[in-house]
Parts: sequence; structure tokens; C-alpha cells
Amino acid sequence: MDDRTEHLITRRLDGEITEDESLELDKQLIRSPEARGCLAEQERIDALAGQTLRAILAPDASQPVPQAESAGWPGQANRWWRYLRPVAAVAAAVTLAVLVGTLPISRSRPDKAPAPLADNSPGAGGQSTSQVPVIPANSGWSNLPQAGQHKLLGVFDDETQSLYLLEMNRRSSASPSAVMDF
Amino acid sequence: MIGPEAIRFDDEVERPVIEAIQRGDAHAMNEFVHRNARWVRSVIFGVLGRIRDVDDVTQRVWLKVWREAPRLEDPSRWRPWVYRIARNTATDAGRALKRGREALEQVADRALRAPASNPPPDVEAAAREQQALMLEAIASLPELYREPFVLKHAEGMSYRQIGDLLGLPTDTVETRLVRARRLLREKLAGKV
Repeated sequence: MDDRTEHLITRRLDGEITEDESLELDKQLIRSPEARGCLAEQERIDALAGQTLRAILAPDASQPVPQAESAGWPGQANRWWRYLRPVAAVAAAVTLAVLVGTLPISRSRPDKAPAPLADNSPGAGGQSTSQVPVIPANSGWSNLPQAGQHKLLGVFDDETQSLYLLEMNRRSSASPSAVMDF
Repeated sequence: MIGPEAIRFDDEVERPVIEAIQRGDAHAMNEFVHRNARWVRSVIFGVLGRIRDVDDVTQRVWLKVWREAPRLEDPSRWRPWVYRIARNTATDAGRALKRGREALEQVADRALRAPASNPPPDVEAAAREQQALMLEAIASLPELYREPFVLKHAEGMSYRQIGDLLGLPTDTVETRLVRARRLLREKLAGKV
């Protein structure tokens, strides 16, 4: 089989053949059993090659996107951290409150019970659990405990995944003292 | 012309995503990875000829893309830029791996194992064996011919698209595909 026929077969298989070339190839195929055999064999090989390569090279859906913590690209492998961030935020708030000594339990003042917490507060759970009222930011300022009962308030913002630590004073005003991003 | 000769890459579509990546948007990067994974893997396999190492090299390529994106001056030229990164990374990896390993047995081994881990219900052992033979034959092609062949058959790229990507005239792409097919016919004669 000559080079010209081989090129025409390749162009046809690749969908790159012109109409004139297609006619030329058809004439050659009628004349040459070798050309017909070559085309049939090449079609078989092409089909198997395409099937094999697509199967092997398809990105595996279960394969994680590259982990690049060092490069600052979070990737899918760190997805679990998104769900743990609120928990970590609450834990950080409790720890901070204990450290600065604002919790009633750390001051041994049995005569003064802590203020009731908002119902949807992640830290709410009665007097035996966390004494730091951490409430979602979108629950509104009216849900804040009475001023004077707590000096430090943790507010976790679900949207920005940030923990706002607010200092409460006796005049019932709140001012952000620190913002911790998680 | 009957074929897709006139079809070129529409790389402008991806431009906003590239710009977002340059600003450090990780979600854009994930989106970009998922949309471009296969052709990048095809390039890597075309250079390496070893499917076993494609995953590792691909990960390195995406990391480089992420890190170096801010330095890409013209976001509309992202494809040749990514191609160069993929090609260079695969070439470096190929040099390193060549020192300590042999190639073809690993390729055949992987080809036989890969479908078994996620077996399509209608694929029999004979078909898997044929795929392994095919993969081994493709892997044994000279890189010169393997690269356009893989892009053609895995991605269905036109001669012009392959030429744009590899920086070759379409005539050269065609000639390399003719020779790749000739070699495959010789290697696989009577086997598939």
C-alpha cells in the first residue's frame, strides 16, 4: 500500500478528509484488497485505543483534588475541616473565656447564676455546660444576655466562619474586642 | 472539508476562571481542574508512556498551575501555558523514573488491575487483556508519535488543535499519526 493511501485512510478515520480525497480513497479501496484490510484493521485498533485511553485517563471521581495546604489551595481533601470549624470555634471561645477568668465557675460565685442562654446557642445546655454564651450572629442582638452578667461574649458567624468575641459592660453596650477566623 | 479542521479551542471561555485563580480563588481552581483533567492527563501519559505515574505527575502539575498562575501575564493563553507545565513536569518525572524502573510491565500490570477495581459489568477478562495489550503497544511508541496519538484518541482533538497545543504544523501532526498507526498495526498484528 502506498503512502498516499495510508494518509487518506488516516484522514478519514480522523474526520479530516475532504470530499475529493474521500472519493479518491473510495476508488482506491475498490481496487485494493490490501487497502480495505488496512482500513478495517485500523478501525478496530482505533476503537480499542480510544476505549482504552478514555477509560485509563478519565480522572477518577474518587481521586482527591491535589492537597496543597502548603500552597494555600484548600482542595477537596480539607473539606472535613469546614464542618469542624464551628466546633473548634466554640471550643476556642470556652478556652479563651476560662483563660481570661470571666466564667462564673472560675470565680466561685455560687450566689450568682449565669444568665439563660439563647435556645439556638451551640454553647447552650444549662448551667452544667459551657458558661460562655456563643450564639449565632443572625439571631439578632436582642438575644444577648443581660449586660453586667457576662464580660465576654462569643458570637459565631456561620456565614463568614468567624468567631467574634465581644466585651460586655454594665451600660449594656457591646464592642468587638477580637475577631478570630477559622 | 468534512472533518473538524476549522474547530479550534475556545479558550476565552475559561479566561474568567483563570483570572479568579490568579486572585487565589480555590473554588475556581477546583472547577478548572475538573474541566481540564483529562487532556492534561493525556499529555502526561503521552510524554511518560506510563499510566502508573500519571496520577502523581498530574498532582504536581496542578500545584504548579496554582502557584504560578499569578505570573501568567495573558490569561487567554492559559492552554499553551498549562501544556508547557504538564509537558515539562512529565519530562522531568520521566527522567527521574527512568533511572530506577522499567516501564512496560508496569503499564500492562496497571491496565490489568485498573478495570478490576471498578469493573464494568459487561467487560470480560478477554476484553481487559486486549486493553492491556493496546496500552502496552501505545506505551511502546516513540514519544514523538505517542503524544499526538493519545490526544487524538483520548480527547478527539483535531489536527489543528493538536498542532496548536504541541506547536506543530497540521501536516506534521498528520504524518506522526500515520506513523503511530503503522507502528501499532505492526505491534498488534493478529493480537486484537
